[in-house]
Amino acid sequence: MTDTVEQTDWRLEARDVVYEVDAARLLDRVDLNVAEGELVGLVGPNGAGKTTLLRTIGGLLKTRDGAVLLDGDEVRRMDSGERAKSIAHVAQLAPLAQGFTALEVVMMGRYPHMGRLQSERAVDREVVKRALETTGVGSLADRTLETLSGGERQGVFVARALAQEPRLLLLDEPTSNLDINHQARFFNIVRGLVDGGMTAVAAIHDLSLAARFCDRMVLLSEGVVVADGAPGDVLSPENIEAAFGVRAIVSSDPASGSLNLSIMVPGSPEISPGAGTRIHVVCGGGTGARLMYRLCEAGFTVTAGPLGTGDTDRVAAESLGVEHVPVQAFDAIDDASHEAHIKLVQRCDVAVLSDVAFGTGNLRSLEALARAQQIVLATLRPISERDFTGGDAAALFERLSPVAAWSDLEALVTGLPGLAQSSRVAQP
Amino acid sequence: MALALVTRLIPPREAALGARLAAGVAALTVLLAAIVLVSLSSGPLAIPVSHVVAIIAEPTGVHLTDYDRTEELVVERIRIPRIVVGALVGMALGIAGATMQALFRNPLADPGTIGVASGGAAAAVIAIATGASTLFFLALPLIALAGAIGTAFLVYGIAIASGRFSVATLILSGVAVSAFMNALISLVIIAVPEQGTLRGILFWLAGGLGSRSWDHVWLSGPLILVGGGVIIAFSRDLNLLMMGDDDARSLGVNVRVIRPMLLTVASLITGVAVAVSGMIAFVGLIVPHMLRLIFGPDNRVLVPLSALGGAAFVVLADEIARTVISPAELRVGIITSFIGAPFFLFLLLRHNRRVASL
Repeated sequence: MTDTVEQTDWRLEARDVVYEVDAARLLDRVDLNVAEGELVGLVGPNGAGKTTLLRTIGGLLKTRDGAVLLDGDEVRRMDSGERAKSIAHVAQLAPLAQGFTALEVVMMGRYPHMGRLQSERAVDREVVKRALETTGVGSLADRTLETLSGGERQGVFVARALAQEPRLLLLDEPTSNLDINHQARFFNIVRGLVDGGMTAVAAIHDLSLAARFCDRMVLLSEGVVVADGAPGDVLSPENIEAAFGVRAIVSSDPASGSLNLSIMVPGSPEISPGAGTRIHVVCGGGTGARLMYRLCEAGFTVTAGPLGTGDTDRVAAESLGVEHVPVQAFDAIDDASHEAHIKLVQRCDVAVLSDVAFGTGNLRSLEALARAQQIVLATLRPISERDFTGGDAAALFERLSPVAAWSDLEALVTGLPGLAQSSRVAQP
Repeated sequence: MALALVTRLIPPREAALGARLAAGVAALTVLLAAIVLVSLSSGPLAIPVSHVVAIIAEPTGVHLTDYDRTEELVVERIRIPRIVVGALVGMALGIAGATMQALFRNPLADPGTIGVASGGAAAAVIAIATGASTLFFLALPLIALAGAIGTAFLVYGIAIASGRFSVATLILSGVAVSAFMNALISLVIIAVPEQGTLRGILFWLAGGLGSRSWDHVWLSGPLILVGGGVIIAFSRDLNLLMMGDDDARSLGVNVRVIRPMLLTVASLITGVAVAVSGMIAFVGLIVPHMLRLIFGPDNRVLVPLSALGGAAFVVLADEIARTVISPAELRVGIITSFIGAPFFLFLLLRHNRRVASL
C-alpha cells in the first residue's frame, strides 16, 4: 500500500492504547486501524477487552497510554457535542429508561444536531423516521421501552445511533438478544450501511457470523491483539486456540462460502482420552475425514499420509490442522513425499489404516505404513475390493502385522490410548 | 373524568415537542390563574373576584370597577406577596423534584433526597432555639438557606471523596446526612424548654406561607427564576443522563461538569424554597409524577410544566390551609401531604391498571 492511500483512507486509528483499572491491564498496547467504509469485527473470549476497546474508541474511557484518533483528532479531546456527531455507540445492555417511547429515544440521537432550546425540525423527524425504518422498528415508535422485548429495544438503540448520522458506528454485541434469523438480518442492515459509506466496528461473539459479514476481524485475548486481518486468516485453528483455549475446526461451507467453526470441547481426560498420543492415519478419498475429526476431537495428535489436491480427506486435514503429506492428485508419490511420509509414520505411536482404495498412485503409502511400530485396521471392506493394482496392494497388505482391527470408530478411540502406551513401554 | 378530558386535550406523545409544551403551558397557566384569583378573593375578608381583577388592572391605567381601599391593601400587601412566594416555592420544588428524579434515575427521588431540606430545617431550628433568628430582619430564611446549601455541598463532597462518583453513593450519603440532621432537629425540640419557642419550631417544620412579604419575594424570586431557567435550558441533558452515563457522554453531555452543576442548582433553589417557607413536603415528588403520567417523561416538557404545576399545587394547598378552618389557619405543609398523598396513590393505581390492561 502506498503512503497516499494510507493518508486519505485511514479514518480511525488507535495507537498503542493501554487501559488499566485498579492495576488490571484491560488493554495492552492495542493498535487498530480502521479505514472509511470498513466493517471490522472485534472477536475474542469473554473479558478479552472488546467492550473496553469500543468504549475507548468512543472516547468514554481515559487511556493510560496511547491515543485514539479519528481523522487525526484525538477523541478524548474532541468537544463532546462534536464527537456525538461523528461517533455513535450502541452499548451491550440497552438502558431501560421507563416511560420513554421508542420515538422519543431515537429522537435523542438528534440532540447533538439541535440547539439547546430548539424543538425538533422537519429534518430531524425525517432522519428519525428513516432510522426507525432501517432497523425495522418503525411500527414500535409509540411503544414505551418497558413494553419492548430485549431484541426490539436493541433495535431502538441502534436506530438512535443512526439518527446521530455518525461517520463511525460502534456496536457492542448488537445481536446478543436476537435469534439467528434476526442476527443475520441485523448484520445485513449494518452491511448495507457500511456499503453506503459508514464505518463500523462491532464486538461480535459469534465467530461465524463475524466472519460472514465483516471485512476484517480483530481477535483480542487478554487485552492484546492476537490477529488482525481477513476473516479467513484470523480464524485459523492456531489463532482460535491461542485466544479461546479450545481446538476448533474451521471449514469453508461449499454452498455459501462462509466459514464454519466446530469447537472441540477442551480438557479433561474423560473427554479427551487421546491427549499426548500421536496417531498417523493412512487414508484418502474421504475414507479418513470422519476418522481424523473424531481423533482430533478426542485430543489425539493426528498426522496423515499423502493426500492429493482436491481430496476430501485433504480438505478435512487442512481444516483440522492435521499434518499430512500434500501431493498432486493422480500422480504417483514421488521419493521426497515418500520419505516425508515414512518420517511421519515412524514418529507416531500407532498408525491407522482406513478403507482407502489403492492404485498405482498411492501404493507407496502401504510400503511406508509397514514401517509403523503398531498398525490398527479401521476397515470394513476387504482389501480385494479396494485393490486396483492387480494384486500388489493385496500382497503388501497381507505382509502387514496389525495389532488390532476396529471397524467401530468409538471402539477405536477408546482402544488406541492403551495400545500407544504399550508401544511406548516397548521402546527403549 | 376531568383528568380524562384534560388528557384528551393534550396533543399525543408523537406530536412535536413545541406543540406538547405549548398545550401543557396553556393548560397549567389557566389552572394557576384560576387558583390565584380564587386565593386572592378568599380569606377572612372576602373580596369579590371582580374587585380583585380591578385591583390588579388598576396600575396599568385601566379602571374596571370601584373597590374598597382596605380591599386594595389586603390584596396588594398581604395576599399577592403570599401567593407569589407560594408560587415561587412551588416552582422551585417542582423543578428540583423533576431534576432529582432524572439525575438519580429514580422516581422516588425528591428535593429532600440529598438532605438539602433537612439541612436547611436543622439550621433554621437551631436559629429559632438560640434566638439567632431574631437578630435581624430575614435572619431566619438566610440561615436556613446557608444550612441547605452547606448540606448539599457536604453530601456531594462525601459522594466524590472516594474519587469515583456514583449515584448510589450520593443517595446513600444524602440519606445518612438527612438522618443526622433530623436527629439534630429532634434533639433541639426535646432540649428547648420554652413553649413559645417550641411552637415556633414546629410551625416552621410544618411549612407555611403566613405573613410572607414582598421582602421574601425579592429574597427568593431572582434565585428561583434564574436557577429554574438554567435547569430548563439543560433539561435535554437530563433526558440523556436518564439513559446512563455512557449514553449521555456519547450523545454529547459533558457528564463530569453538567451533573454537579445541575445538582448544585437544584439544591440551591430547594434551599431557597425551604428558607422562605419551611418544609413543604410532597410537592417535589408528586408534581413531576402527576405530569409525567399525562405528558410522558421528556424533561424538556416535564421540567417547565413542573414549575407551573408546582406553583399551582402550592398556591392551592395554601388556599385550603387558609380557609378550611377559618379564621384559624392550617400549615400548608400539612395540606400538601394530606391531599398529595392520597391523590398520588390514586393516580398510581389508575396508571398501573392501565399499563396492566395493555
